[in-house]
Amino acid sequence: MLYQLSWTILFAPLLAFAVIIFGTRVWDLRSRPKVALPAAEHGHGEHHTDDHDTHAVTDEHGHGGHSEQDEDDDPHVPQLSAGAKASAYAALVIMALACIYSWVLLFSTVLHPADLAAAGKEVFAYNWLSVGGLNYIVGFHLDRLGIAMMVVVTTITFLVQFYSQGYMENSAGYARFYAYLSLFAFSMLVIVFAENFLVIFCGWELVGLSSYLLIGFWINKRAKPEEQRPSPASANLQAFIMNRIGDVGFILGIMILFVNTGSFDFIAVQHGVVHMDKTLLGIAMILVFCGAMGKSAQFPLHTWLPSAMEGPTPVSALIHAATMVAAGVYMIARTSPLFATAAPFAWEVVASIGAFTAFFAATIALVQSDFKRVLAFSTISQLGYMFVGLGVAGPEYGVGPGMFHLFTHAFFKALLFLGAGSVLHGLHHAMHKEVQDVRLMGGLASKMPITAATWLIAVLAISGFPGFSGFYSKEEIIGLALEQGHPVIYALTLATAGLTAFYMLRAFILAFGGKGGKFMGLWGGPYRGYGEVKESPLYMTIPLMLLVIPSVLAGYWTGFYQYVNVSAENVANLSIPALFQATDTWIGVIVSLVGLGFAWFLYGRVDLVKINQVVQSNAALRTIHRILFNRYYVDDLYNWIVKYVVLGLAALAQAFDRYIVDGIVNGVASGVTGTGSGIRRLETGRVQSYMIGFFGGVAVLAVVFVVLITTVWK
Amino acid sequence: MAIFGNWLTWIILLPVLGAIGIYVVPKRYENAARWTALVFSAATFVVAMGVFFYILHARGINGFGSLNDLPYAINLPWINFAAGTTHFTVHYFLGVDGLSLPMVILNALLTMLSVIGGWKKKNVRAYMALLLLLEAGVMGVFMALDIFFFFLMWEVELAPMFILIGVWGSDVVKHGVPGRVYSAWKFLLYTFFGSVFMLAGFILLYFHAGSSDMTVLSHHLIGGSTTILGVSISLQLLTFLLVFIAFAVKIPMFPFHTWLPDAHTDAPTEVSVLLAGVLLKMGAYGLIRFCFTLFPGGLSQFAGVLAVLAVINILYGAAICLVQTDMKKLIAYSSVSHMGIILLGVAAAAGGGNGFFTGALAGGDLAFRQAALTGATLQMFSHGIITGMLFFCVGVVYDLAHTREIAIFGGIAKRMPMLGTLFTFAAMASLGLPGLAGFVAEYMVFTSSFRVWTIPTILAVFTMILTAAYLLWMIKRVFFGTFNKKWDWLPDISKRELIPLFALAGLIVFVGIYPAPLINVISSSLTPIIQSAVTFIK
Repeated sequence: MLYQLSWTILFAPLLAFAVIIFGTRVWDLRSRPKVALPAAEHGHGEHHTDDHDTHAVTDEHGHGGHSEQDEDDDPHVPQLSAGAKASAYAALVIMALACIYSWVLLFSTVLHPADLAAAGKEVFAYNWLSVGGLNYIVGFHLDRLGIAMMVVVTTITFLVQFYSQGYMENSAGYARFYAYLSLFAFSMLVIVFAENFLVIFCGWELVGLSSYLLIGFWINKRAKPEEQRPSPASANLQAFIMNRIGDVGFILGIMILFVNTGSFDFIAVQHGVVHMDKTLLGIAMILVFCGAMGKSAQFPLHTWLPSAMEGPTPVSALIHAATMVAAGVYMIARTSPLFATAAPFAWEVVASIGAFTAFFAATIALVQSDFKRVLAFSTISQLGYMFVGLGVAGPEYGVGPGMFHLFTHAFFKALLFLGAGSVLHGLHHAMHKEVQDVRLMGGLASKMPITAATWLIAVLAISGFPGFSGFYSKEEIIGLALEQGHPVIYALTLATAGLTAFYMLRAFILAFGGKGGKFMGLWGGPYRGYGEVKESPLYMTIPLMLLVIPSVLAGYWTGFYQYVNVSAENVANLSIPALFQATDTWIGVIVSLVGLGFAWFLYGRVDLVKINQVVQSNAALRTIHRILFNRYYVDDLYNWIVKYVVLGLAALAQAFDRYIVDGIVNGVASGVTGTGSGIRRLETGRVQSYMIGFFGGVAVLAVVFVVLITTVWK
Repeated sequence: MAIFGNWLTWIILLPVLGAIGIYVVPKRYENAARWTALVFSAATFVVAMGVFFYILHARGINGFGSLNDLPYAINLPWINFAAGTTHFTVHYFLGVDGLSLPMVILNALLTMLSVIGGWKKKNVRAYMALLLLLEAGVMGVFMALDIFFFFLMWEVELAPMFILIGVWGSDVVKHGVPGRVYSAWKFLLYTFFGSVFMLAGFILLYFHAGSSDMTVLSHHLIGGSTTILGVSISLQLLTFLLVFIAFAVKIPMFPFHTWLPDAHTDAPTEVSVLLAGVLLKMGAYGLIRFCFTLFPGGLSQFAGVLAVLAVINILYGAAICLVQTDMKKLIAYSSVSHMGIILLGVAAAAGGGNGFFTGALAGGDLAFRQAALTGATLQMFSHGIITGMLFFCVGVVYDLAHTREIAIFGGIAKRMPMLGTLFTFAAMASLGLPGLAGFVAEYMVFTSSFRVWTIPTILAVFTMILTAAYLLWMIKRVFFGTFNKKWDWLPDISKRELIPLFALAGLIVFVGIYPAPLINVISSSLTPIIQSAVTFIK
């Protein structure tokens, strides 16, 4: 019964979405003062009165006249209405219950593993449609892999929703924000609960929708070309389409499986593919992996994720770091029996793309100056690790290593993003504009101690510092790559570990420390911005402090390997003592420590300005910096392809349509008239020529008609 | 009179009576004309739903029958003409099954919503009357089961449409005349052009089989071959091609599609809704009802070409959408692209295929063919409601701003949040978001036609990217991004305009989440068609 009712977790966020959209949000909108339209003279009257504070201060800093722009960038209300608050509470209460329920499920399956069959249990299903023996079933099932993911999703969603009460304070779209977050949670849970390819594809597209809506949450916000930042409206378009490119691969893969097995169901497909050609199955699985590449932002479909940072920061934490982008990893884990059956090149492709992306994204993250973008590239890089973990593990380790890194990463990456949000929130209040550039930060640790301390822990976790959760999950993957005989992948992941440590501590020191701070520049130091920075409210710091717990402790639950991978008994190799005894673990640790040390030495002791001067004065460094800073120009290449190739072909098709296809139609119509010069015909007007054309045409057809009747019917 | 005892007669007659009623109302009572139109269109809808529930009650959800087992029909002799050895009979034969009834209901629904949408039109009496006459004609097309009666209805529908575009259309000059005139003529002549071939095909068929009755014809398929001008051709293929030209124009299939963007851009909103929502479906319906049932051999021979043309429709239409500057033209071309999915489904149901995947499965190829054809039929319905919704949305913008030029808008969701939401919703439905109606049909057609026409389907799937790109890019340029101050005065959508949008949105969600009932209704009628046709597929 406990397990059977778990579908309520799935539908709870949908309920929250419905309650907000059809209930409390309407209430919120109705309670707002009527906008005086279209009496344009007073067009913005009500906004002006609302924005006294903003006005006063922006003028002070010489940004007068931009109030309208601020209003468009992030519309505010003077005070949240009861409806808006009720929306948040509805979402929070429902998500809290779902979260508790999923933790109960986790504990009960850990304590009583026999209660839930290894294959899982169908909790809710209905017949979507069935035609001629083909069944399209919407089915949801619960198993341990799903429970592990569900705990991550519900916990982080809840914390992010709690946090957003502070971050989204007085936002005009407060209720809408909570509605979208709830919609996202539902969509994500559809993926988690999915029993077959049909449902997982539905969830796949629905998280795409929620991501689209949330990236574009500030609908009228402008682009910032000087910071290489697109407008949210462009960013969400890019995200959706980039994901769709991956989805084409995904659906093609599904189709190959479907036409060979006649089913979408994971189990049925698994039984069906044993008779399939291994190479074809391998191709099908690589196509399925294309979907994961889109969703998890793997090279070459990665460019949408940095752009997606234009969404509100809690969204970046939830969707674009902890959960949705990890859906690709989850999906590959879910379909791993199929990969295992396929030709070995399928897993190799997964691992290679993962390893390459991990390294590629880490190099870009080295030089980014946008606080959130560093985190975005670090997410891409860490997702690469997860794919390596899945790809190299082999049948004896199964999905354990990859999923474990997903599990630990979700917590510390959410912490990093929420901490970044806390910083941006503080700076927005201090400088009265949106600041994401680390060059305008520095020394914040003494002003925001809680944020800084929690962030530092997350940095250590992601860098694989011994004792923190990232250490256990990441070193496992790096070590496995070597043990399973993938030296190139091992080298790449090892190098990435060093780079990761470097750029994460670099970001930390640039934001929170700097030359002159305590502990050799690690803590505090000169602040390069202006205004009074204060620690964020408790709404925001409580989730940070809570996330510290799993960021440290999650790594100690090595029972996870057994938990998600019941078939494999061979998990003794993955225990903590085994990890500590392996040499390659300590090689990894040394590489990470070198990265950390180098960052500390450089950014803690030297001024940022001076570092930049050195880089700019050296031709080789300058070139490398420019290439990395521009993200290898991949974005520019894609823009060029879209602008000149895709739209060029489209324009060609349009011209063909207008001048050839339609030209022939118009030509025939006027040509049938037969007589008269072209000019005169034009002057007489097309209607008449059409009339003549019509009757002429019908006359010709009538002749054809007669020929037919006489030759055929005798 | 038996003829008036049958509800199907009333489905055609009620709109006609409504139209007459509107003209009887004195000119100055415009509101009375509106309400008359609404009452009669609603009554038609109620009758259509009544027929649905009658059949549901009598025979269950899987009992919507087929030509040989019509759940509800009327068949009376109408024209009986004998001269010498030539004997010519036409029957007043109306019937509905799972293929036509959803179309009948769709037509009734969209007309009713169009009446609400066109409440404020100029010269509203004539407008409403013509909408109702159009409805009557289209109802006839979907219900007539005598080929000549069908042909008559096919032509009857043209007249109101011609006037609606020609009078209420846009005045932008095209080729030297007002666009409405150009487009109305183009629509009329193009359809006539196709109709002539259809008539030739029907006459050929009639004199070969000796009957115009669909139930008889479906039992006595035309066979043999003939020689025209020295070229030998099977009669199946010849008659198929003749009849198909009319449907190809109507669907519209590349290269006969250019009338559609013109007609859409120049037609008033509600006419576009009906044009995309039901008139295009006449072609697709004809393809399945007549070509598939009567000329399976011909269709099977042609299926390879049809699959290629379907892919061209899908990708070429979508590519052209990318560079459109007019919202309505964009949606018109998107119809070309989406109707291609119907063609692909039909091609998969009828064709021999690439033969890559032949492994034995439960049901084998037949199951996939059936799914493809059912998906194609479902696409007729879902495209009708989705594109109808899109056109209603554009209409709201156009009525306020008097322009549909994408480039001159920008960020107007700030002033029209409700419309922005609904427009985005409709675009999401159109691009095949799961949980909404468009996805069901697309997914069914793609997954099943992949087994038969593997390579065309691989190509066609790329439309997923293009569709998302052109629709969301348009949405972005119009509703999101930097707010264009020029539109500061725009009010949001009015309550009256919300009615059709909410009605369609609800239906889209329902079909998307729980398509089983509709699929059962449709497939109960398609199973016999495909089973009798499958023997012709090589």
